[in-house]
Amino acid sequence: MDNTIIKLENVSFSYESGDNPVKALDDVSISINEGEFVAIVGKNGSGKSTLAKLLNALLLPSEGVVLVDGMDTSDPENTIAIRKACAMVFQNPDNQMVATIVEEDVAFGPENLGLAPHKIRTRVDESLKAVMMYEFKDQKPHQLSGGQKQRITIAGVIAMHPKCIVFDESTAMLDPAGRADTLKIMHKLNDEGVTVIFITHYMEEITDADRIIVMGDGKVVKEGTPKEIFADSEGLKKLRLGVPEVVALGDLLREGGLDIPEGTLSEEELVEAICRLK
Amino acid sequence: MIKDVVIGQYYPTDSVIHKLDPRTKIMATLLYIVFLFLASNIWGYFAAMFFLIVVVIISKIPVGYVLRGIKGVVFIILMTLVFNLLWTPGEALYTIGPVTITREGVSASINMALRLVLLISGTSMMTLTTPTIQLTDGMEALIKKVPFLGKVSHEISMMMSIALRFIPTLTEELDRIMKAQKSRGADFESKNIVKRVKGYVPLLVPLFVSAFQRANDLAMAMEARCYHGGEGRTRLKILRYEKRDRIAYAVVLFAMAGIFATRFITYRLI
Repeated sequence: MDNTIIKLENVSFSYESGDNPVKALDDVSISINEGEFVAIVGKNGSGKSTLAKLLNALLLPSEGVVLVDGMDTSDPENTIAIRKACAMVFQNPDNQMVATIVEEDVAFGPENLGLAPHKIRTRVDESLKAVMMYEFKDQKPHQLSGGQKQRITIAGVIAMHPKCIVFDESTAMLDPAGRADTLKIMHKLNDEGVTVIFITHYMEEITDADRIIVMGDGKVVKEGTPKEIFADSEGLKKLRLGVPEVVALGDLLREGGLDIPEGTLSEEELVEAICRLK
Repeated sequence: MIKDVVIGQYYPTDSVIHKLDPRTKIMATLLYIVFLFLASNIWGYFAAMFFLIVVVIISKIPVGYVLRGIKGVVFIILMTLVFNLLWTPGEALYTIGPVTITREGVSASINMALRLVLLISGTSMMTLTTPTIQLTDGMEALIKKVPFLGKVSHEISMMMSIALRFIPTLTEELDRIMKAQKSRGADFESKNIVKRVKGYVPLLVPLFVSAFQRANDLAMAMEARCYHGGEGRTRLKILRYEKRDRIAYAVVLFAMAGIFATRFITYRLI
């Protein structure tokens, strides 16, 4: 396909630890199209974070090929271009900020790309506006809340104008409000054409994804739309993953003999289904 | 306790000193330190004090704030005062029992105390009027001019700014660990010094472990944002000398010449 932005072909990855290497990824093949919103879920140790780090050459595959925007990550010549095309937001906002002033931190990426100062200025301003943090540009990061800090790190990534952003459990350390904000920004970016890859274990957050990839023991266990994935709650439980509360409630009501259609994912849909009951 | 450190404390006002290029302020501070040590008598310290007072007035920073920096070293100042007063040989002024106070002792102790006070309040003027990010940028630009060190100027300034960035984060962390250990019965207030020192071990170990973890995360996040050293890197803000910087250099050089000239004053106050 023409508009594939990320392609993994038979990728394996092992961590060296003493004599017996630990296999974190085992023969994984994934392809992600430009503009998609893909969620990758899995329990701890399923290899999802390793997968994320392979996508911008922070780790290189032991076997197989990772192609980002057509570039092979194992070629060191491509590293900078790959990281520019596919940016990454991590879990802990505190550990991602480099500078003591918000706008300087957002400028860090563009500065590394060697852009002219006036270009950096425009990028910093537009990125901060995109995450609704422009009025905080002269503040010190440690005076902000967790959610605000994560918005700053997202701005820092947007300022590099990536085609694709990987969010590696970026909501895990935030309070509910910060989590909702981050999620909103992710969808807004996706609407603007940025490919979003969201790695998480909160099932509630991914009901709006275009596609869900379920990982288990370093392998892709399942792949499909949220409706398809959440239809099999038993299978997810075996992987020690839950389903969103709304789906679980729908399942219970259906078991109790009520006519709730399968694939009811959002609160609104469930309310509507219940109101239609006689 | 860490919060009391004045270094890196920025006090924003709209004064012309705040607007000066950080390089001007760093160079002026270095010159000030050098000439403070070149001053040989009390007139030199008076001249330096006059210069400092003028700078403080122009900067619009409250005097109390400037003097706050001295609070941490009051003990050291008192010690030098006492030692110089009691153990300087020379012409006796008073004799109380075995203790003799000499004319030279009085003059040396006053000079030393003045020198310390001027040194600390002078250098804190630099940090009070310059945001840390500008200070590190200024240092980077200046270090670049130093032979041998110039090659690593970017690395040095990057390390400094990351260190400054993580001071509040690690302070918070330390506070959290302290509370956690206290709630499990750790004793940080024991009068027994051995016990107290032992109490700090369960603080430092987790703090170091977490600092390493953070360093690891940060390195990865920096790499993910295309960091590849100082080569080919541009900056959002570029330092540029203005007319006011040239004026400031002239004023500082004039003042330093004034301080130096006091070496030739032979009239003794004490």
